[in-house]
Amino acid sequence: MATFEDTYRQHAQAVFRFAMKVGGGRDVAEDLVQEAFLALYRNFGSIDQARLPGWLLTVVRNRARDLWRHRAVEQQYVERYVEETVDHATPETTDMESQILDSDGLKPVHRACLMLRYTYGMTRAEIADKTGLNETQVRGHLQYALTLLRKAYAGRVA
Amino acid sequence: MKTPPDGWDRDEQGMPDDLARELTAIRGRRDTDPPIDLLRAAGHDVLPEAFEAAAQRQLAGSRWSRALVEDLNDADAASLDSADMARLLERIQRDTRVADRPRFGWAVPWLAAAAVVLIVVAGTGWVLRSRWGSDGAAPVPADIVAGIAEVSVATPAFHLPLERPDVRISLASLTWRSQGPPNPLVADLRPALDAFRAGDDAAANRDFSTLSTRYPGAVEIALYQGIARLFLNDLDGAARSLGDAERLADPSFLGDVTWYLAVADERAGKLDGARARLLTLCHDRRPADARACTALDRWP
Repeated sequence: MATFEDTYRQHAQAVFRFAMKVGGGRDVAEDLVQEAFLALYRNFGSIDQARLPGWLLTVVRNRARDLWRHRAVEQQYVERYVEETVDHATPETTDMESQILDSDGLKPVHRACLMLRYTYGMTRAEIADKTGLNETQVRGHLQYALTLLRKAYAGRVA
Repeated sequence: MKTPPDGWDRDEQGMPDDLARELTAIRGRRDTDPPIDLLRAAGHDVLPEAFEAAAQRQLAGSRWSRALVEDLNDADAASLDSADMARLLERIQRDTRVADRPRFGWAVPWLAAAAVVLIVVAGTGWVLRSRWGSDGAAPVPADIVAGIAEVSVATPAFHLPLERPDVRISLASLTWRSQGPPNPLVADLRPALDAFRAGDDAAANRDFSTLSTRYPGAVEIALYQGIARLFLNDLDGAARSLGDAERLADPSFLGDVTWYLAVADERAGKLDGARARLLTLCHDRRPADARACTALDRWP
């Protein structure tokens, strides 16, 4: 039978990637992973190893539900969400947005960084948290994306 | 373009003005989009129902939002390097050591406190006896000793902690519509909630009483008034308010309502009722209420 550490090393990456999707950032994702493996530790003797990593993902999902329930009912978050997003539909899409969306040169990671930086106003640290990149990588992707965007924009206005 | 908190680098500073204006325009248009965390979590069975529906609507109607979520997932940059893995494992192991502590470790401080109290009582008795002498000059009145013991032996009377929760507002209240100014309910609630947050339970209780007649269907008024009354040790009043909150049956508040009803029951000596509520919270709710499960572990 695998040890707890072996099991952790085998499944931590998959659990972390799922936690990034459902938790909304690296710090939260790490907390969710910690809670999942702590739950596994408590039940290690009784868990069928064949049920992993599904069992761990279920723990993450349950914890994420708690988290979202808590977030959802925080006054500020709900006010912003309900008042600004439900009642307003943003029309789709401007030329510039289409250019960003349709650019062949932009890989998903470049475009994600570009969108978060210039259209959601995030800092590099915030983008790093959302993407799982480090800040140096974010800076590099932003430089690349901006260079491509400038070229495309120059071609469009020429 | 508005400068972000971490400033522009040289590359960004050289952005053509026209391009910067277009990006600023997009930012203005996207300012009302739902938070990216929420969009990303959609479809994973973790969001409250109303949020899931709204997020799905946004994703269905917005190519921009869809692309952003897909890009973040496709980028798949999220990983733990070996240092992260080791750091996280250490955190988990630290917590497992806490988890391995004896199950009744929580009782140790109370036992220590009880021991101190016994020493104080015994010491007081010894001092009084030595001061008055043992020759029958002036015996220590029995009611003084009893009084000391009564006041000093402050054992943990309740297993369920009474803690002030974060204040939340129900969706029903936030979207409440009236003939008058837009949503007066939220504005009317503010002073009472501010007093509650600040721990001024008497003022909060008064404000909630006024509000409860005006907005009988607002679950947060009943819940927070019930909690304020618990802090004021008005157990009957607390049970009435929390009972009102329970009857309103707002699913997003029901967990808290049940918890504080259990707290009220225990304080009123209704231990069976309190335990039944804890069982509901721990065994019947999904996800289980962790504080209720912990309390059941310690339940006498």
